[in-house]
Amino acid sequence: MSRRGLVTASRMLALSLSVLAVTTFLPAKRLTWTRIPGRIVQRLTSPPADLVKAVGDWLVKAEPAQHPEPLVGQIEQLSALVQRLELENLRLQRENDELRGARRTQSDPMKLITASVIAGTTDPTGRLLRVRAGRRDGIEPGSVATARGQHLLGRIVNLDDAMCDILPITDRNADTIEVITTGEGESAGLRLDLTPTGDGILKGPGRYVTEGLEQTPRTAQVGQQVALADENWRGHEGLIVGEITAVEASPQMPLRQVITVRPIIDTRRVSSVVIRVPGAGS
Amino acid sequence: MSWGVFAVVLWLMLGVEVGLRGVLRIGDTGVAPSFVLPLIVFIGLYAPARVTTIAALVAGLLIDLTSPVSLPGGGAAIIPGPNALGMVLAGQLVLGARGLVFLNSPVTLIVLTPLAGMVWQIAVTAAFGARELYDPIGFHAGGQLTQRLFIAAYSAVPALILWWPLRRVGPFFGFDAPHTGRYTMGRR
Repeated sequence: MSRRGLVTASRMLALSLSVLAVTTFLPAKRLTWTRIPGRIVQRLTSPPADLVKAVGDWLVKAEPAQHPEPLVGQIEQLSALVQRLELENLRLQRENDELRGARRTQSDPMKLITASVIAGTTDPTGRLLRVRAGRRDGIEPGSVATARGQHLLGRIVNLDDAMCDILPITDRNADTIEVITTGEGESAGLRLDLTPTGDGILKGPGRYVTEGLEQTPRTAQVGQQVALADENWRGHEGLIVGEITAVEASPQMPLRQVITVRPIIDTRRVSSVVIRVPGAGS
Repeated sequence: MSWGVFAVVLWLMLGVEVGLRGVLRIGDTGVAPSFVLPLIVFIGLYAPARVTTIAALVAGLLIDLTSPVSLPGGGAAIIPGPNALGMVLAGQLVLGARGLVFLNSPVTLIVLTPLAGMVWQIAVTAAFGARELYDPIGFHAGGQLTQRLFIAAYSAVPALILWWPLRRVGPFFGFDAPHTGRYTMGRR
């Protein structure tokens, strides 16, 4: 009579299911070890994904890091420069103290690294972007990713030698950011605190600021662009966050506006990014 | 079943799924179809029960390992389990249903894929929803479930597209489940 061994396929399957049932409910801080198999699997599965994504990007005309047309790219860079200068000018006029800090950080040396987006996560509802650039390319924790050079995408998280993940500003777990409305006219220069809602937009209250002898409150308008003006993103102020899509009165404080902003660049249709590493020199 | 053939087809399906997400996504939502799911349903229709379970487990685990979730405060974590267990449950649904359906009809794959997808996504939502009680990651079960059920329904489209290619490569899988005797891969 033959006896079955201790290790059988059924037992291994049951053990695997039990282990997975445990890891499913383990707190995230106890799962740091999963990054290594995650990276290995990501590297193994990326070749067909890269190939298909290249075709897909071509089909949907995904956003490149810089415009493929050199002339248009130059115009975009110039318009970004004008925008930055306008922003600086506004700050000079209205917020002298804060401007000094902003200008100091704007002039910080910045290393710009162009990297391709490997693919999004396999989970269809995930928003993290995985990028083919890592520590060996000079990326450091806390670096910031942009698209088309001037549109803010998000911050670098999960950094390893060859790859890193970008946590987009629209991700439900991204931090609240302080932004300022840009453009010409009375409505420019209003500061907002934007929080991601988790569905691709950011929403938050505008600060109550009055101006002139009549103490007219500063307001935001639909269609205005907003730019980053956050102390926690030192060196990256002036990057475009998005466009105002809705302005409504706050139910609690009617004098304040609640503003909805949608990024101009869809984070899930980006094929390559420019990563800004502060203090690394260009 | 030939695990080598399964590995190659799964590798390709994962690539197609991730690579085409931007093209097949509906509007600004995260709703994009799964190409891995029809493969698991296809295997569930023909392979022995244990093989189907292992294949579903492997496919789900690969999805888990390539799906980091963002954490409050700016980190990310890989959580192995939710998709693997969800896929296993989806596989069990196919195993339960395969005695009641016409194995060689494309309608079978097209109908069973969204149903299995619903089981998969409900399991994933339940797992992340339960985690939210003690380890918050900003997961809103209500909104996520709606979105994920649409993903399951949308996966009928790849099932329709993949039916013929899967039938073509079917003989290479070497399915040997007893129930396929009456409906062999090559016979209509």
